[in-house]
Amino acid sequence: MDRAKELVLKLVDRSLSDAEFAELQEIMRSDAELRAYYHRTIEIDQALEKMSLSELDATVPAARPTGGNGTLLWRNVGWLAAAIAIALLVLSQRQQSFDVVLKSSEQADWRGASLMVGERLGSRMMQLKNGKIELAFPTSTAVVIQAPAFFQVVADDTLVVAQGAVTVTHSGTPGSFSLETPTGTLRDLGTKFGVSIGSSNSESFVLTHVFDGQVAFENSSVEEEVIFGDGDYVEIRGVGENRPVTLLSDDPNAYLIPLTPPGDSGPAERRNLALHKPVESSGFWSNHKTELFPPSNVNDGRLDDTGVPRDWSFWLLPEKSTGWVMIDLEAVELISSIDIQNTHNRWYDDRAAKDFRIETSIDGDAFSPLIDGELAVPSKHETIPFETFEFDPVRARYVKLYIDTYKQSGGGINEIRIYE
Amino acid sequence: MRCYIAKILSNAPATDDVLQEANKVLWAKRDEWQQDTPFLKWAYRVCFFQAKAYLRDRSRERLVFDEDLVELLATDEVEYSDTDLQRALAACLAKASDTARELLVRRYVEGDSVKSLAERLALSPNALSQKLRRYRYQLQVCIENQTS
Repeated sequence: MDRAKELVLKLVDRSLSDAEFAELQEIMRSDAELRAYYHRTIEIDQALEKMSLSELDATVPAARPTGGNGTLLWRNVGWLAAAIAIALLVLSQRQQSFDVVLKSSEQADWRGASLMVGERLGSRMMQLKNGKIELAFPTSTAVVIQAPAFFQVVADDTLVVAQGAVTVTHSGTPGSFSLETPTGTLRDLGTKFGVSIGSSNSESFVLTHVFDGQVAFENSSVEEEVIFGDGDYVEIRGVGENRPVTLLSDDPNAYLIPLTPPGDSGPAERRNLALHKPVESSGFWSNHKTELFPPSNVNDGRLDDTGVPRDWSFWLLPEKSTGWVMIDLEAVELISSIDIQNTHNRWYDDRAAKDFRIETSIDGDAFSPLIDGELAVPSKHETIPFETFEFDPVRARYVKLYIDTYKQSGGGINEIRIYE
Repeated sequence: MRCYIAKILSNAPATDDVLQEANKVLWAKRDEWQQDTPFLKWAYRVCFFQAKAYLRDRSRERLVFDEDLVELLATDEVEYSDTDLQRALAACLAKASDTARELLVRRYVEGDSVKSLAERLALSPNALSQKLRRYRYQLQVCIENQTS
């Protein structure tokens, strides 16, 4: 940025010194181009200030209800709703603030209120639509949360999680940190544990895996707290923290891998062109009534074989078959890098992609080879790495990944990210 | 009209006050508007005189443009159409990095002050202002590319 433009930006901020202002005035008198830049700067500044949060939300691709022509009655109801919303907003802004800090984030996509790294959390419920974050609690507890997640800090030592995958690492006083879930409270007794929380129409699932140490589980319907020990993995099913729960020990669904903390800010600065774009595949595995592994899982932002029964983060091909998955970027884009995260089908450890190749197309008919290779096949005890494949930039709208060989029962992919 | 006044007042906080005064004048003099003159042109002229009156009263204050420069700025053309600008702004915000987008939204859309935002992020106000200027510059480059 040249000095004159910098002075313009400082003027718009009203942070110029008198000498700088005199210098800028002098240049602006004779430089029509700089005056044009000044006009554009003010116009953008005013447009930004004028922009409403709802308009801003519209910049994020999402299904939005369409509005029709309202009647007078509905307009009045609208005003009433707006007044109530403003009152609620004022009340909600009086929320409590805690010594809990957002330590890091990776491709975080918030809905409603948002957080920045280094910022302290208030008591409002947060929605993390995509990405991964790490919270630091004053109890010497680090909590990694992976989207999609709803969570709320309710005290300096207590986190409520309604949905999402979480890894808690607690090195403070045993018993000084609690995680409240839809089925009860998990109290950390000096340990590291993972939880994956979700719900069906009829019940909630809290998959809990203790990686190290011990965790106490409390639910008011259980007379004594239950202690989960080192290496235990348990599926907890129930309909509320005060209602009876079912504990399924050694349930394969509950075998989790610790979430790694968010990476550095590098990848977060890049936009994943594949995220939530339309996907199709040659097929996907399901056992008809209970579990589905559809292709839309390959670009849903969920990683690491996480999820809960009936809602997992990865795509699987039909039993013992090769096949493909294709992402439609919805526009021709210049792409130069693809990240792939394999799967190991959770505890089962029986499915993964091995040899793969990727082809691209602009029109969806004619495809050209782009890259091929072999993916690492991690075991169930290992974190699944992202493998990055870089190439000379190509223009593409359709990106098609073929799985040509697979491990044991079939192939699959956790996530595909595509970048400019 | 607010934007027009902001340009003449170098984005001074009094922009809204002057706009309010201009609105009052427009209402009081509504009978003087001749329908063969475009309304906006007439309204801008009223805004210009209101802004000039404000500057005349505060000519000794800081960051007030000299009269000759005010005249030049008032006759320059508007750079962007509202629609083009809104569309480009939305597209560029969507493309911006998470950090830049968050910070710009906090500061401008949600209206957080630099001081309170800096406190929450454990930054000095000066460091935060510099970051904001850098992100705004990037946003501006993007918008210029979109609209050119």
